[in-house]
Amino acid sequence: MLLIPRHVQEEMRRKWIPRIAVLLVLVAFAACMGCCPSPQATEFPARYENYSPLAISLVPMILVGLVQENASPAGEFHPSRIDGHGPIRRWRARVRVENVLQGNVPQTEVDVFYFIGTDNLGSSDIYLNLPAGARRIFFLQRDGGELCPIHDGWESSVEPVFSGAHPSFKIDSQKLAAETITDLLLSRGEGATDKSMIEAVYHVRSGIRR
Amino acid sequence: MYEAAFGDEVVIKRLQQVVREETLPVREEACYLLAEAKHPCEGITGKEQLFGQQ
Repeated sequence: MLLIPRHVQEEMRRKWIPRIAVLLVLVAFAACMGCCPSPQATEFPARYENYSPLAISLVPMILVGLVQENASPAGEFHPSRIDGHGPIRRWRARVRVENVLQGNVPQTEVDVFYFIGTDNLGSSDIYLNLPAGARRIFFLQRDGGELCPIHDGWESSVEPVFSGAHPSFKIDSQKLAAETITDLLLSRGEGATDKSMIEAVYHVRSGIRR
Repeated sequence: MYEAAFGDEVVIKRLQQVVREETLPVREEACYLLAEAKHPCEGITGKEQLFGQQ
């Protein structure tokens, strides 16, 4: 048996154990990166709803935005996580923020990301369609650092605004967001015509039980 | 959005405001919708009142 003097043993323990520990941590980290690559962004089930005033009050971000250019693909096709395994693709819409009705959106322009399956694209008006010039109320949540519609890829995540732009619209913090939205949708803004206001009136009618 | 997403009362109240503030063509349509939902067009007189009560 090799006899090592006690002071040499102490020296080795003091010097080498921390180095070995650091080495082990690095090896573990590298192994983890190799076996667990960061997941590809994909669509997710709805966590928020906008079917009632209470549900609307829980949506993280609600903003009025003007789509700056036609929404365009922002990724490659990959299998859907929740809608069978059909091919799905990420889309991006550049939106100018006109009013923030709920939540905190400091930017004046934002990108909104969402997923639409190839089978669904353009097949029905229930899927999100954001052409240039469209003014919409967006019901949004954050996914990582990105803004996404609450119903990924579905038109129910947005509400068309027929009443024009409202640059001086005042938000009453005492009111529920649903009331603020109704106010905005039925307040004549810049660029609104009688025809567009009548469209607004008929659109909001869906909020009345008959 | 789904039916009643904004709430009946909120929409009725706001439509009644539209009836008071908007131009005649818009008021007429708002009044028609209020009448359809069996709500009065308060503050409306003349043509719109008749239209709303049909």
